[in-house]
Amino acid sequence: MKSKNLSQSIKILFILLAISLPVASVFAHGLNIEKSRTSPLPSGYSKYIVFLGDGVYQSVDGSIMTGGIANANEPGLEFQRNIMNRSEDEIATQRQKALDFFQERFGFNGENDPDILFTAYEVNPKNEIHAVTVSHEKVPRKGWFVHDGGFMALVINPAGTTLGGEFSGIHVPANTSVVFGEYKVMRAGDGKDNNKNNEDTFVIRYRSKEPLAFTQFGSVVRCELDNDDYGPGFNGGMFGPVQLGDGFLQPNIKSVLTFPPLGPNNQHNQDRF
Amino acid sequence: MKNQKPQKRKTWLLTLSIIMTAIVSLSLINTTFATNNNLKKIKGSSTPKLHGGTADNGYIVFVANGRFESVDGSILKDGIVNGDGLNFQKNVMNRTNDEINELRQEAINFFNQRFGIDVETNTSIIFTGYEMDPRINLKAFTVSGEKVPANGYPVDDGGWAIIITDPAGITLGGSWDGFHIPANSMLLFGEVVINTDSDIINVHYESDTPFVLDQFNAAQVRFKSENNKFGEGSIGGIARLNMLNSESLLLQVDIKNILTAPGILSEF
Repeated sequence: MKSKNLSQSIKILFILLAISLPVASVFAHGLNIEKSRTSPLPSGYSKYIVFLGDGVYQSVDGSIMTGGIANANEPGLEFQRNIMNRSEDEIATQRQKALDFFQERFGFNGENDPDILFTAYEVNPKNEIHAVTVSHEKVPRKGWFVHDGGFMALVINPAGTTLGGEFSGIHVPANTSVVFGEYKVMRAGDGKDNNKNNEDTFVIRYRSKEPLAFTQFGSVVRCELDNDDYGPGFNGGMFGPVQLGDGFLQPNIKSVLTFPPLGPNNQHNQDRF
Repeated sequence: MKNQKPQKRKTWLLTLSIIMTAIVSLSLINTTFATNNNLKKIKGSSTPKLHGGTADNGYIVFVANGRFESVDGSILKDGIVNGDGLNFQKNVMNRTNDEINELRQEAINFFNQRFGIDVETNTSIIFTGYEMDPRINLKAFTVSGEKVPANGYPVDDGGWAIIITDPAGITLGGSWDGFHIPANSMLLFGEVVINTDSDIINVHYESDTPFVLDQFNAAQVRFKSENNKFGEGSIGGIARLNMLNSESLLLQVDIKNILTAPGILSEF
């Protein structure tokens, strides 16, 4: 008797399944829900990622930093504490790494140079930066939210400054910046309000390959990358904020991250690029 | 007992026929529904659905990473002075001379209207047809809705360009009235042609902002675009041209551009 009931239940289950699958499919088409797909990996690369940022919001000062550039430090430290989950000691270590890097590559003495503003920063989450393509991974259509923050040195002397380090003798204008930061990509959920405890996330470290000159059209993005799994890479793209009036802007962030930087396996291509 | 077997078979057959009928009928409804809504079955990368609506209709990622000895330090085939882009127009786009002249005039009108440059009279510029040197190795790595092969889709690129030759630069007119751009800046009006396995995607692009190389040989790429697959949009990204050997003009190209439709255009 029991086995007869079980057999009936299985039949009913099959019938329900057979009906529900096409119904779900009909609804999906009706609502124009497109399935997310696994993105292929271009040959010669170990990882390929695309970021887009198109949020619309009111900026404090026309910049894309939380709190504006002049007040970026505290939100930047909050990024270190709450997004990167670092202790105060770990933040101090990270800060020192940034200072050392700026000194070595660009000759900036971040703490004592009057031409330079050295600050922690967080890229405003309202920029809505999302990873929309991640090779070998199934990314939802709305993408995976990307947190972005770190430390920067910004040339504040209106006359500009002359670089040292690897760029010795090169003069750069005011508003030129260099960065040392991290992207934290949130694989699960909407990424903003949950999943802060490093569950199903990955971090990409970035640092300026060359100085970034800000103009009224924004800037190019060109940063060396590093990830524990993918190795060294390069981020090329731009952010070209469009001012929409009443302080509103749309950041227009478009970046392609490739590991290794130029892809193809011939190593000589990676040394200078 | 003997009568139970045919009865059981009858029940199974009934159940099976219900399942088959449900599957077939609902699949038919599904197909009809999809066809009526002109929904294309997506086989490849999905189309983003972002906060600001950018790329709702589609997006394409272009990457070029070629390393080659350039004719004159530029990435144009045959160089800026000697290249005319006619090979691209005739052999890639298969245009007649009349069609080429018509398109050339469209480019002239565009440059005049948007940037206030009269190519016939302005002595601070070169106006020329161009074809991007195929050795830059320009590929489309992602095309939403397409299953792009690992090597990417090959891309041809050509059109008409203005290059600022006056060492002092020039001051623009048109929508950019009063804006000064330095020597070697470029304005473009062209097309990229993506050869997919089953289709040709033809993207027209025109400068949204001037292409200005910074002191580290990189420039923002910002174009208004229109194409036969996704409609109007914009292209944004970076072109880095690293001269590795100034004698042999060995150039490392690093171009990463993203087309989104709809796009984001400058306020100019």
